[in-house]
Amino acid sequence: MNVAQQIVGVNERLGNFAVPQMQGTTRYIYDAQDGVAAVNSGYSFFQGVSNRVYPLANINQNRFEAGESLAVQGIQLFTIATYGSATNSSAIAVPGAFPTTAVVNLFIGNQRVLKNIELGVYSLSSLGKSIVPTATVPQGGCGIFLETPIVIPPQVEFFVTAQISASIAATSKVFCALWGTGTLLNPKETY
Amino acid sequence: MQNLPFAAQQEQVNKFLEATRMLGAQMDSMQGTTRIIYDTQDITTAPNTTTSYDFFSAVSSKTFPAANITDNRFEPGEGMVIKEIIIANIQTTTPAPVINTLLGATLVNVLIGNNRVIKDLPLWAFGGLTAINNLNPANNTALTGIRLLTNLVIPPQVQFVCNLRVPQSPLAAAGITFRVYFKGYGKLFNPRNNY
Repeated sequence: MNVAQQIVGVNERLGNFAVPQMQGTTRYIYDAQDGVAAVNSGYSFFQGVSNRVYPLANINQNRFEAGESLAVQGIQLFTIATYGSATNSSAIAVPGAFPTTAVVNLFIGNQRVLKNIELGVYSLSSLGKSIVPTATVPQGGCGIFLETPIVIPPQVEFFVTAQISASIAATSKVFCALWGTGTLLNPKETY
Repeated sequence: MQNLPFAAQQEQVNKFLEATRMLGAQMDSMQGTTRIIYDTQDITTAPNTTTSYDFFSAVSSKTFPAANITDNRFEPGEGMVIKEIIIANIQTTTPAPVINTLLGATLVNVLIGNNRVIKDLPLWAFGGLTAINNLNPANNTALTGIRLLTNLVIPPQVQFVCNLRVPQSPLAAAGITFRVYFKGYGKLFNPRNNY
């Protein structure tokens, strides 16, 4: 079963029969939280995203609109240091090295669909097919490609929780991103 | 991306022909080709208070080398599939890096015929910070690109626009002249025979 078939299958089981007519696309959604200057702190991403202003997030609620969905094919965490001091978009600091152990969970519609995935140390080595390549290891954070896509249907809430072993300065931002093949609302024809 | 398997290439062809047929354009007998189109815009022209920039919408007023097309719609018999998008900062003096900076939060939107087919895709997804479907590594930090997970068809005679939304209004000294490339399978007008 390919990604498109999984998107259609999941949506049809939920009664969304129009999804095959929607526009296929590539999506990458992210959310950011302030760093917590304490070890083993917990973070919750996408919940409360409506309070975040771009560029802290590129969605405005933690559920997709009618006709929109996303087959999550990868997940990533990264940090941007001294976020608040930037005055020019091109002069903002390079993202910091991602600190040590980070365990994440993904919840869709009250169900946990990723359980205690360790991203930090696992991907710092940049070994393996499933690791997200970065320009300069370990800058740019850590992430993996999932072994199976996980579909977020329209109108269903989702969120990510993370526990990060290292202390992160309150002036830094911690970002979480989900990406994959998606659909956009398209009531007429697709391109 | 080299030596694409034939099946991956054929996906683009099939999607292109299906989409154009639905729009009433019979493109099967046109000449298949590979297309790369681009548009360039200096986004640091002072005084600058905007953060949103449209590409391809004004190519008719541009001359080489700013763009390699003259209209933001293809002629009858021509069209293409957007499979790769490249964003390059071609400012020559002090080009600001587009990866591993907050400029990477620049959001890309692509509209074809009033439909949005790419929605708020950040440059972070392209490369450097993340490479969710990576191309060959770029040789510098001033450009980045992505190979899309789906095929996006631009049929003939349908307008298309690429919009970039940058996080903050760039200063004149920032050195940002963005060039947006679309690359993919295409068709050229060919009324007789093809090769």
